[in-house]
Amino acid sequence: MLRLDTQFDIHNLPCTRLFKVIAPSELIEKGTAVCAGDASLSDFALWLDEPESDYSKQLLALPVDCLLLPTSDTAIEGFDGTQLVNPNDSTIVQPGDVIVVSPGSRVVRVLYRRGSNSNLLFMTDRCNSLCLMCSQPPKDIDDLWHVEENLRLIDLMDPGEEQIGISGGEPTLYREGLLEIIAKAKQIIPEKPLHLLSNGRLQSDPTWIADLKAVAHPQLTWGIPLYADNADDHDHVVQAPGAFSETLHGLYNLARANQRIEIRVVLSKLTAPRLPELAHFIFRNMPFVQHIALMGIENMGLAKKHYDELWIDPLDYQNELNQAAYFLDVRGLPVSVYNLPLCVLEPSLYPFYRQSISDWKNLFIEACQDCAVVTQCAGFFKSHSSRWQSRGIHPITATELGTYARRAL
Amino acid sequence: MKLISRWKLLIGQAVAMLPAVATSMAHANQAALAGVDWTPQTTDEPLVFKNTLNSVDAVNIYAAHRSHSSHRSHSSHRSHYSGSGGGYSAPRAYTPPPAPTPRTTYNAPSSSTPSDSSSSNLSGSTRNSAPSTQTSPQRVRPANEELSLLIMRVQMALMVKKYYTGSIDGLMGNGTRGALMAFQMDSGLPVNGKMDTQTLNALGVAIP
Repeated sequence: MLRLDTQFDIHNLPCTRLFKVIAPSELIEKGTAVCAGDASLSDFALWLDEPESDYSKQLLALPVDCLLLPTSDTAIEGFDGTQLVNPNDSTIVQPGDVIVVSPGSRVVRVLYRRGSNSNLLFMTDRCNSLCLMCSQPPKDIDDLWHVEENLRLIDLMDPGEEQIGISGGEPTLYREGLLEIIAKAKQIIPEKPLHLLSNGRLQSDPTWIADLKAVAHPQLTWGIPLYADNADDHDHVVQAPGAFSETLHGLYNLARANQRIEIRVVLSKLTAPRLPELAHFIFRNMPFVQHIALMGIENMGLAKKHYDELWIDPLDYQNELNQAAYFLDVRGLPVSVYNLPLCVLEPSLYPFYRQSISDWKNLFIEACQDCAVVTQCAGFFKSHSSRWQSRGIHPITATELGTYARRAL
Repeated sequence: MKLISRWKLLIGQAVAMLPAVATSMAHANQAALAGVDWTPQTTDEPLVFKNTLNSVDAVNIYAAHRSHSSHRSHSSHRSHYSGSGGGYSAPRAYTPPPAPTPRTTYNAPSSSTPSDSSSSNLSGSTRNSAPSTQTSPQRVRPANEELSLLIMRVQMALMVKKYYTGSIDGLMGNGTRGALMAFQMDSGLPVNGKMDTQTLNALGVAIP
């Protein structure tokens, strides 16, 4: 787990800026081609880990707008641009990353981390639902500026294949901006698959169909949550009357626009009991979906507040999970199980098991020290606490590993 | 049910029967599996081929830029496209660089073809029109900014290799050219003071 933000002493920063961090050796080799889109030297933060060397002093003449000195606690004289020095944690920002800095704050946030499995275009903090287990409670603020930031971020990413997420909040609230971002991604980073998390409610408006067909991104997948096979339960989980109907219309409109769709189910006391029925409902009514993800709950944000209503020990829904997963699997719908530690999972579910937790918030606990399968386990969210810990947590022995491994054959 | 779904069912059943068949095998593997070290072995690494960065026939529009003085006469621009044997060869996949914003003191040729005779920097008409649509072939030249950036990268590379101690200014002056020639001599390359493709490869600089 490596956090996405830390603090530096920031010198001479006139306005909010995005910088691509680059080491001199990479600048020599690749130049601005290190960025996927348009970039110039002024977009770079030059990474100087030996600022006292003669070579580094020569480099101060480069017309870069920023220096990043990971090992130094004072700024260098003789450089006019921005300088980032004296980091609280020098491992957070690395060459290849894209960072954002603002005047009046010491915080340096990593917007894009080279090699990470979970890079994200964050669209907004606003949302039109208020899910009981929301890990990132929405804020009612005007944050349209995220659109501009993301458009620029796309330019500064590394070229190459890797998945990029688009999330919020509810990204479709900024419809024009979202479509612009998808179109730009298609142009600048066409090799990167996009995974867009949306509740699908606004797509009940059929004018989305033409817009999405016009953009026609070749590798865009919509991750749409569906929590029940009936309106009552679903609307209660997302705390929005009418949401079930809107999401279903949205799903059909997305299908009409030839979009790739993933259904996401967060497993809780509210959703687990009718999981087999939900699987049946999905197979009957939306056989066009590409993937169904059955996901353990993240004990963050609103989930903490609704502990009593949500918490169920994963051991107690393994039967339902098994039924749902196999029901869909034998009918040709791909299924995955996310966000659960391997030791609480029925071995029969192992074929569907994925290491799913984003690297920057993934950790293992003390009980994992002697476990034989930590390298294949999804582990825990960094927010993990004993209140949310299954009674099934235990180190898996080598013999037990055999039971799981045979299932994967 | 669609045919494909039937296949999936069939395959699913076949796979379901597999464990029974493979049980003995699985038991035999269990001990071995438990003792396996999952960390990557060095022998698992793929073969690494030497990366030459730029292919021999890469389009290098920067090779012609030797120094400022070289631009006084148009003749100095002749035949620096590697493998072209003189004259113009159409780039195979060239996308024009963005419009230039003058930043350096680079001067365009003063006596040259009519279309850019009056321009102090390289005009869009010279670079942006596709070669195939032109009646008389014209050379593709880099924008000022791109050229200056490449020279800076070459200066940095020469500095790392201890051939250059001057300033990193993006100008192909005598110091830079001299360092380039010294490097070329030591590397067994043709000593011409130009940023040709083989010199850039030896320096580890990819053509933009």
